[in-house]
Amino acid sequence: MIRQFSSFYLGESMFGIDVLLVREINRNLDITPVDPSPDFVKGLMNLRGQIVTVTDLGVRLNLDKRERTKSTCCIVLKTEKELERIADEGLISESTSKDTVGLLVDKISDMISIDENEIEAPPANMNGVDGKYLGGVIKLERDLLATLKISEILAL
Amino acid sequence: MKDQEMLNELIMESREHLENIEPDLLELEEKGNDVSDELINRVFRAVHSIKGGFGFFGIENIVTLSHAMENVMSRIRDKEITVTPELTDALLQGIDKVRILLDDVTNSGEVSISTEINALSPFLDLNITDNSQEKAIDTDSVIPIDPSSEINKVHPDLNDEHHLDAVRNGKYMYQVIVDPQKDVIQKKSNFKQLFIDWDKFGTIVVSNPPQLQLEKQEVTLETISEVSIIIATVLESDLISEAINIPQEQIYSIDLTVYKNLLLEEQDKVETKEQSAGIQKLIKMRNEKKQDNSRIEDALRVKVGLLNNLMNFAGELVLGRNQLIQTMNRKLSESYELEKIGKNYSEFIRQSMLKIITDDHLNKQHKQQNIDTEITQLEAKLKDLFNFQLRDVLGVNSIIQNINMVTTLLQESIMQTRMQPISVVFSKFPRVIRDLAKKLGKEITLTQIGQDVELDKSIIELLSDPLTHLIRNCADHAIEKPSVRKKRGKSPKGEVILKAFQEGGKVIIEISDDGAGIDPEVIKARALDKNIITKDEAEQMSQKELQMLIFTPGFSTVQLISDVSGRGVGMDVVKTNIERLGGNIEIESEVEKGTKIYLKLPLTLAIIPSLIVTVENRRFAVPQVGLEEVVRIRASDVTKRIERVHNSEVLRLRGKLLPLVRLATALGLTPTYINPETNEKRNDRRTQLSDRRKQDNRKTNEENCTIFTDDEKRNGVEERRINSVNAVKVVVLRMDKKLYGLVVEDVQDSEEIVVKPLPEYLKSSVCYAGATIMGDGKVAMILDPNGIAIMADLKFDDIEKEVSSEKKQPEKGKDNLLQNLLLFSIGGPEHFAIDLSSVSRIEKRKVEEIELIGNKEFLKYESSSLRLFRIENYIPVQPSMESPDTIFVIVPKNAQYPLGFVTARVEDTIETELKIDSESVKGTGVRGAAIINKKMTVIIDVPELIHTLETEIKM
Repeated sequence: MIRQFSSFYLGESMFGIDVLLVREINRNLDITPVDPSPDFVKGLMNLRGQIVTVTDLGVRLNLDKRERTKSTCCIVLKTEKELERIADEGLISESTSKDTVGLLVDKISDMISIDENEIEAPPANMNGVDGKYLGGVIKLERDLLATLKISEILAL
Repeated sequence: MKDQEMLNELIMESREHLENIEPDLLELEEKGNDVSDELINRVFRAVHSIKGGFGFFGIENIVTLSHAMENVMSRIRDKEITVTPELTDALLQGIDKVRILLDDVTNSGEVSISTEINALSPFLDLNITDNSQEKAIDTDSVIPIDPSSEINKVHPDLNDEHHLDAVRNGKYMYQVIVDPQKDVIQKKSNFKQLFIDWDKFGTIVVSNPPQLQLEKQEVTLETISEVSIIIATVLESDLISEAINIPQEQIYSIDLTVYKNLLLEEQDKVETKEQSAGIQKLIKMRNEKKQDNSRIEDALRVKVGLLNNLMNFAGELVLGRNQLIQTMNRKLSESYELEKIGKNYSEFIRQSMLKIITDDHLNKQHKQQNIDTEITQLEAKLKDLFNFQLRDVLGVNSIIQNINMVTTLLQESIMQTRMQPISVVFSKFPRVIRDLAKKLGKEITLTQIGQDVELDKSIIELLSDPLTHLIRNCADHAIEKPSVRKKRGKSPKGEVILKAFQEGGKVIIEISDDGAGIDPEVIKARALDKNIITKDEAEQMSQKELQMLIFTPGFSTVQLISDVSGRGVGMDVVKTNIERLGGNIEIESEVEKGTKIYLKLPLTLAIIPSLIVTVENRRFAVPQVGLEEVVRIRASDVTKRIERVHNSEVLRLRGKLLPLVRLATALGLTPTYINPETNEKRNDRRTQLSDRRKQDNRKTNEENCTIFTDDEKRNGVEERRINSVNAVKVVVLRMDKKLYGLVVEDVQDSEEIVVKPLPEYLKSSVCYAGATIMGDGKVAMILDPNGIAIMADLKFDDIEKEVSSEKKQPEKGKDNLLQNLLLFSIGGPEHFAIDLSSVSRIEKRKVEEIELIGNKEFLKYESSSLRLFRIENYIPVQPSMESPDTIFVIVPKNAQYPLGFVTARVEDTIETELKIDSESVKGTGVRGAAIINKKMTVIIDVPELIHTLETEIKM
């Protein structure tokens, strides 16, 4: 089966998220910080009347703290409820969260289509990212793309 | 799946039916036989459609019960029986049972309905409104057949006992001709299934070929052309046809008249009924029914989820519109800016060209002329360009205005779709009062006013329980037995008034009774007994505060817990429920005279009024529910009013100590302060608000040393935080029974906010109750007073200890209770006092703002107009001798119309025990006079005064 990943950068490392999990990618970032909150929660954002919990993916993956730049984007994920239908069809096995969650990334990149069989099992650690957060590794021409295990990343 | 949906729909409809006919039945009870035919028909139709509906689903108990009720109703209609209290009781019981059965339809078969059937049975007639006749009118397709002739040929087993049995149970009998090919095989069914299905709707009497053979498939279906089945059921022919899914042409009604007569003869009952009259009525009823059906539906069911979506989108549209307007306004101002720049530019060109001219002496005049014309042309072109752009912008503006208006209307309309009249809740109370009065041997009348006031659906739903509790309380505890009432010189009939009205953006529900009232002394004794308050506390409490104690958990003044009220749902639950709705509850009670309870509710649940506060550039919403007051302490008073008790800060407020929490600290933010010289924000090194220069903690903050000394040099010894910006603003919040102060940086406007639940990831942050989206599209957090107190680890006990140790108990008369009073003057020599708890707001306004219409004075107030009254026109006192520039308008609570009293000065608020002398000063709206602060003071009776004024407004 062909799977599609939305790829993005955190620093120099390239990551990917199954597009079926992504609702939209947002550049208009007006985040209200919330204190006290878990360290990886950046704050809340208004997305057309819906409250989105914006998380700092870098912090979650134990990477260095990063500054926001012009290319910083927020990948807004679908909620569990929105996923129900495609999950029923067996297209995805991952789950997200009850709430609308956004992931802050440094730069958004291309869409990658790849046959499922070409995805390799992740190593125990990759560029400083704990293997438990990774779903697999895809060898691209120039880069290595690590696909993310969203359910693990969003776990409380 | 689809069946389940249909069933749910039916249950919902049936509930509506039951709700609609209950008042009718109560009227029936009250008026007896004088009731209108229309009313009886209405009840009949409702019960009939419930029966029919559940007939399809084979829900036997509901069908049987509603059938019995239908039968009784038809007899009332035909004046065969007279309406007695026993009869209405039986009907009401029946309705209650149907309601219970509706709660769990699937298992309704296991619930016994014999009590209700027995109650109805004396009124039942075995000879139901002659059904064969009815059928004859109803449908031509059903042919009544004589049971004695044809049928017996097909069914030799059918005997008189079968018929009589059907008649005794009020059933109809049908012969159904089943075509095995068409009705069974083509429907991919078999006879076994068919019998199981049919059994739900009635009793299979006999079948040819016999049922057993058909079920065991001993008969080859291909060889027989038809199967005749006799079924006895309570369903009419059209209903049975649909229920068993057999065309009406194949169903023959069996005429049971003979057997009915036989049965009647058996019972020595002589048939006296006028058949024709019955038929006439039936025809009339059918016609009415047809008219009813042809009425165009003007309401439809919409899923609440869909409405919520609509509401959300409308909210978004509003945001979008606001952004659009902002952008357009910016564009507009930019255009003007551009024009200005253009003018400067052309002026600059002119100047520089002139310079060239002055250098060159040849043909000077000629050149000048040329340049002038060039410049003028340039200017004109520039102007054209800008005008064009401006015109464009202005055109867009009117379009935006249009969008603006439509958006507002859209939002309002969508909000209204969720509104329901309060009568939805009110309608059940006549029944509640009736039942209770009967049970308790009391006489109570219930008057309802304002049933058409509308509230959000979700509020209506959540309002039902608390209101029922309050109404029950009225009947159970408040209204005395007739004998007691007579002794107290009251009419033996107690009165309960339930009134709803709108005031500002709120709906007020007033529940008043003329019963026993709440005795503060009884409450005090009870509260002491139950250790709810200490003796010291009790001494200090005002009458009102004592009465409010009935809302404390675990408080119940009635010794005997009756089955009427006191079923574990106390007044505290009522209070919490009302507060959860964003409303509040207030009590006014006078011993032996009665009690008034006010419930103040927001119009919708999704939107709550709140106060916006800021700290460290962040905005937070404080819900008005937990908000007591806002206190501003001048920077110069901070040291005087803020003290330290056991490492925590307290504020001295009207003689009481209030623990303080700094919001920034509670949320773990780094506190800053504004330097008055530079308007810069600096990290605040103080750990306490009352910390000042003298006890600086320079050593602990080495890194800030340089800035610090700079400041010190510039300011000398003067306290740099003393300025208006650094005045301390304290928001006083209520947490259960206790109050505390939240120190914020700034208090902004009050705003209506839409509450959004907190995401999972922030659930552990107890400080917040939710999040909201502000008018500018940004997210702001909603503060939770309880959570903040927990975060700040507030220790109320320490402070209380401190208070009790330092307080010398002042002498107090036992009989006089403390009251909070607002003292004011209207400009004359008299002093006035008003109960502070009856004041909603005090507005400071310029005299010019008063608008005159005729001889009436008005003030613009919260987007409506406030009618102003001058106390001197109502109470015999001296008019104002001053002509001040500013007036203070006292806006009272619980007024049906927006009104306010004009005063010249608000002097003070005090807590005092009142010894009212009601003899020396008299008049409507005056409670009497008292000595306050050594001055004779007129005490205003606010409810009475409001009443007088409202009557005037109404005229």
